[in-house]
Amino acid sequence: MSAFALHVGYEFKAAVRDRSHLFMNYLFPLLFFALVSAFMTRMDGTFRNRVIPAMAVFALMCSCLLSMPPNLVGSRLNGMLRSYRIYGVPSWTAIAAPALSNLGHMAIVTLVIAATATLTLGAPMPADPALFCAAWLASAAALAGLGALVAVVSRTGRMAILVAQVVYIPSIMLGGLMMPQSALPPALGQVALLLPASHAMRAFAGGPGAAISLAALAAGGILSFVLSLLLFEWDATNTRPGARKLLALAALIPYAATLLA
Amino acid sequence: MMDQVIAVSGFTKRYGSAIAVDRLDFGLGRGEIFALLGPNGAGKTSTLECIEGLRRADSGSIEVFGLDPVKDSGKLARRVGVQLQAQGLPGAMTVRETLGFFARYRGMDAGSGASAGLASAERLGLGPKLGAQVSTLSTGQQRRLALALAIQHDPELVILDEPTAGLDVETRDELHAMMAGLRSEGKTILLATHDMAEAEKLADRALVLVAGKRAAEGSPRELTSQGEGRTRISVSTSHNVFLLRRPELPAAESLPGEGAYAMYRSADPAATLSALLSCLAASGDELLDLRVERPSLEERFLEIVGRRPA
Repeated sequence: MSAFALHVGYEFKAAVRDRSHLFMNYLFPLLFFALVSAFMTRMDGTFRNRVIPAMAVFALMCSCLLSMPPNLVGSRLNGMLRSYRIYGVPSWTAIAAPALSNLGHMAIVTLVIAATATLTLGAPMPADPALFCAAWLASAAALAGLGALVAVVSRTGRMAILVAQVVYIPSIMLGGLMMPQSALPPALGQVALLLPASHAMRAFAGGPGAAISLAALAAGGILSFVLSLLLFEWDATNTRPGARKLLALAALIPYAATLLA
Repeated sequence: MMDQVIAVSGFTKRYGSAIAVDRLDFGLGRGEIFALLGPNGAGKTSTLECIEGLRRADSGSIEVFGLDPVKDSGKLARRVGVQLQAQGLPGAMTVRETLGFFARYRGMDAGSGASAGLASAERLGLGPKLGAQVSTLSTGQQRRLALALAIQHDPELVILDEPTAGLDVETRDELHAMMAGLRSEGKTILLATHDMAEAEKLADRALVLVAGKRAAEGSPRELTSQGEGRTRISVSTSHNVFLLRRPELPAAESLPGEGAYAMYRSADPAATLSALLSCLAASGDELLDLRVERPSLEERFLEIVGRRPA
């Protein structure tokens, strides 16, 4: 097994041993799923049709935006990344290993959501499993990349949570998780296209916009990881000039480009 | 001449307008223990961090095994073992996992990484803790683990930043024995410490930094024999001839007495003692006690940094 595979494995195990990880990766998204599905399916009959992708995207956002950034910032602040540096751990693995580990946990959560929604809510199973897997992977890459980017531009864990909320809350409201994107006013619909969650829901839904959204998510994920590596710091006291962090906004380019499509 | 392991030339490190280290030069030969000494803020950690590749020098050059510590950090990670002063370790991993994890990144295969990790853990008394999560270890045990990580890949150079700070006497003695063992294996050790007794006991050479500049360099014996740190001579006689008469002795300065002892500080102990014994014989007094104490490195250090010993 390569050092990187071992690293991902240890990150996965470490997350199981850590209560805050377990809460944010499992308990919170699954509780939210249970509560929301209980009343949303009564309020909106069509919610049953999108509950699996919506809750899968929600779980990915919890893990990638709320759990991963403060943990990565904490690793930088408590000197763990410095240890990585002196023990020869490359910077890309310091970002990619926790991201892949989180996605492993999210795959489990998605399976639990899919099975439970099908059995208890009568939610339809994905009609095109290949498209579902592709949409999930692209969404995971986009959100994990964004989480990594939030971590590298934030000085503290609290700052990371605040920055993540700038994406997280609009994504819940406008991303098509709770209500269909078609129900949004046109102007808000355009704003929503700047959010990975909106493209994730479009990709899961299939149809004419799915390919563009899949491409935007994949490009956004790759660009976010590249920018994270460019802005990565091993050490909390070894900070780069703040203006350079504005480069992180370039991660939105693939999503903004879909407005022109 | 010994092989040069570390070569520091004209090294300067600034933080904004503050100069942490100012045009520092020193070299470290293979197989020696070199101590970096200095008060807080003297520039020790900045110097170490630039040698470890964690920071860049603003000017001057630093070479470790002829390589650039920042650009060649990957290559050096296999040849250098580092224990940081403030070291974060993955708290949710077990000791065994942590050793195996970092061994793999240093290019060791699963088998040799595991056995080297176990050997270094055993050497540092962590054998019973291999299955424990790092977050459950005491401060001393975490320090031992950091040291185990620094030596598990059999590095040629070991850099230790305050390795015994905050440890109990027994653990400190064990770590001193381990460092002496590493030297006997031919390892080179760069040690930053506030513990002068530790430096005096272990170091072949020491560099004293004050306000980012070199204040003194040499072996502990050379350092203690320089400056005003003269040998202290205490003498007690039955009729207190030295306390009462205060005879002048060559190369010696008379100090205030301490109890039944007359005190002198001598720059030439042989000459002073010879004169002292002649004086004693001439007075007919009876010698009760005579003590000759070389100045400690700590006394000399305080003198160098401008805080004379009490």
